[in-house]
Amino acid sequence: MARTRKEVWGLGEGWNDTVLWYARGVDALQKRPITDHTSWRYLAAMHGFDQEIWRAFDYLAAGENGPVESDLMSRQCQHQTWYFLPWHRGYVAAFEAIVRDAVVKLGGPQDWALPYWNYSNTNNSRAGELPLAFAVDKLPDGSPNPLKVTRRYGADGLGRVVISAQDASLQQAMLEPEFPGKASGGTTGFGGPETPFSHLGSLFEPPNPSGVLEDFPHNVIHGAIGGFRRRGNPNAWQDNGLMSMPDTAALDPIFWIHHSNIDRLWEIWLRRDPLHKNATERVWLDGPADRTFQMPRPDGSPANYTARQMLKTEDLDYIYDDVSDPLSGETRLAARFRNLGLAAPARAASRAMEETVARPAELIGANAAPVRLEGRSIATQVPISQAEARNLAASFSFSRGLAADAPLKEPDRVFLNLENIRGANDGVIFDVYVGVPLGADPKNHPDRRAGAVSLFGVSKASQVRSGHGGNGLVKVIEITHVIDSLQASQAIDLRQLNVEFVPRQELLASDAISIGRVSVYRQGK
Amino acid sequence: MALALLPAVLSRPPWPMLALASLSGWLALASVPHALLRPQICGVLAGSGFDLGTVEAALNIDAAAGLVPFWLAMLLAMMSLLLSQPIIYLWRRSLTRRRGWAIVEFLAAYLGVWMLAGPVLLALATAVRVVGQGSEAFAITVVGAVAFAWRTCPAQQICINRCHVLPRLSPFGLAADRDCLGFGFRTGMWCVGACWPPMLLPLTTDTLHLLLMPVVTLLLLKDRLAPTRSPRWLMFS
Repeated sequence: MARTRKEVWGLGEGWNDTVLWYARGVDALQKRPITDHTSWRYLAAMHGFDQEIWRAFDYLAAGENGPVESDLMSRQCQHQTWYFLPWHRGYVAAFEAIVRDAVVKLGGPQDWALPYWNYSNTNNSRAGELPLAFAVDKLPDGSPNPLKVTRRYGADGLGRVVISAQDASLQQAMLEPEFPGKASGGTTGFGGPETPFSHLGSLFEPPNPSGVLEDFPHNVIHGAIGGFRRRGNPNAWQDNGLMSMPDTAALDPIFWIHHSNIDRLWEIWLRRDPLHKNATERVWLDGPADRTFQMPRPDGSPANYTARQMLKTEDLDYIYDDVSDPLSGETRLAARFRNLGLAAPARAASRAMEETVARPAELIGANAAPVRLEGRSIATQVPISQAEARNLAASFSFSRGLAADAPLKEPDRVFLNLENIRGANDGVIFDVYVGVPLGADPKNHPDRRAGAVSLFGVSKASQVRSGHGGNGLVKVIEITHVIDSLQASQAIDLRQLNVEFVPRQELLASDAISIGRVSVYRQGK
Repeated sequence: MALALLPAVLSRPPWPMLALASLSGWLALASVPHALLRPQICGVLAGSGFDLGTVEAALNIDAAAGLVPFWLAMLLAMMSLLLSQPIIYLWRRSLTRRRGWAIVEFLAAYLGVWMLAGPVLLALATAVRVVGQGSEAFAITVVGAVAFAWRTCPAQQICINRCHVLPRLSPFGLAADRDCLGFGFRTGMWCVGACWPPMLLPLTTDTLHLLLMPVVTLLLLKDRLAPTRSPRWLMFS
């Protein structure tokens, strides 16, 4: 019978059996040597590993080395690819099995399952707070608490981890209609862009952006927990929290219950709308083409897997206690039409629009020079090609009643692309605003806020030595809802967009954050 | 690589076009006798013996003119498959109406660099043949050793790393043209820097030319697709 993963706040505010056994299991894994494939540190190194950082953070003793580069199981994490969800499902399931094995050996229950943290739960006013069992120094018996980690600085760097409702928002992910996306400037898909190769095989192509769920809220949660705290270190990574960097994230016990929730969101997305389906391409189901995914079993032996084996949680012997729809049946089109100030289309028309295949995205404008992010607010102007501005405006023509008798056609979706983002500080989060009047404070225009961007992984992406070419990250942020609001109020000049970046903490020159190009794409149907 | 997935992978753009371009190059090389592609060189090498005059002959204008179709065919055959990353980048990051033109500009600059490198490489290959009194075995051994040594030194890794740099592209007007041409030029320069010794190999032999080319192509593809890394002496790492 499948074991049930339960919501950590739903288990109670303090210690409970599930979380206490988790702590004991973590402790047992932490005592194993790094050469043991079921040890805490080896499992963390499967997500990412950096000898210098691990040694500086005291995760490697003198004379100890981490896994070599040729170790197939290490450094495996899949990001900026449609393998993100199936790989992490296998990873978390393997971890859970190993912890449960340790729990049972300590006398714990056979049906122990990893809890999840539902920071988006609007029925719990404390949902965004770090669960107490991860914040206290001691276990109930007075021994040190392995779930407590000091390198958690929060989004504001002050050490208190509270995920805001905005950062935990599920709007972008849950309303995204397609699983696979493209890396061509438009939607990257709920599950991520189609890539025939794994994350490290990406030199066939330019750097890919993350899928919608990976960016929102997964990456933002990483930054909101790990963050960074200014202590005057010469290297930004020395001030980062564990969860801020892919190479250290899985060393924090909160990582696993965060990813348990991300995995649950995949289940919810599939169930909430019959149009939501997994990718069916063979390259996704049986790929990637350049390597095999591999996880350790509780006895340490390796097990290979593909996405095809990760489609049903029941096949992996677990279910979730709650997969109800957090958006209560809201559809993307209903939300969009509401934003445009129009009545929601009839069900049939809505279905027809949703089922129409999206055209490839097209670049319509870009800013004039790279943007260096320093200080508290940085703005740039993005001129739009005149012809494209007319095309974009024309796609909204139905809303002005010019095509009343024609089949309803959804206006273009609009996406901001932040290209070649380079930097040295993974803990940075900044909010993106579009269309704020020049000189105005963006915080006074919440309706112009496009979303938050986390730079989780930026330093590795910027370094040639990490294997990806050093071209930095690409971020795609949908700004359709902002354009729609501006269109509805006729407050927009589509020939030029003002884009503003507001970091959560003031950025310094030593963070070395730059955006190579800020561009705008439209995607029609 | 999972062979069963290869057809699905290779059917994704731009692979079919790149494969077609490469095949065109191979067909051109295979279908036309070498003597017709390199009349001046072959004639000089066969007729006048192997001395410095042979090297000079390789560098004269007639030799260069005769080299153009041969060298172009070689580049098409061997380099097409290496260009997926920049071509995809240009396609994704250009205005729709400029996409084709952006790629043409890139390729023109990229190939232009290689066309300029062609006579120099041929002269080098010829010089090696001269030193070895025409022996192909000698030439292949020497150039092979140079290619091996080059692959172990940090400079080659620097060139490979630079080949993967994807620059900012201005979207509009002359700035867009400038950026695409510059992208092609710089990629070509770094590509020549990374690949010049293995590209010498097929030029050192007439009899094994078509056999060495696919071997070198696979080697170049392996280097092109390997993860970038810090430049270092490989034999000491």
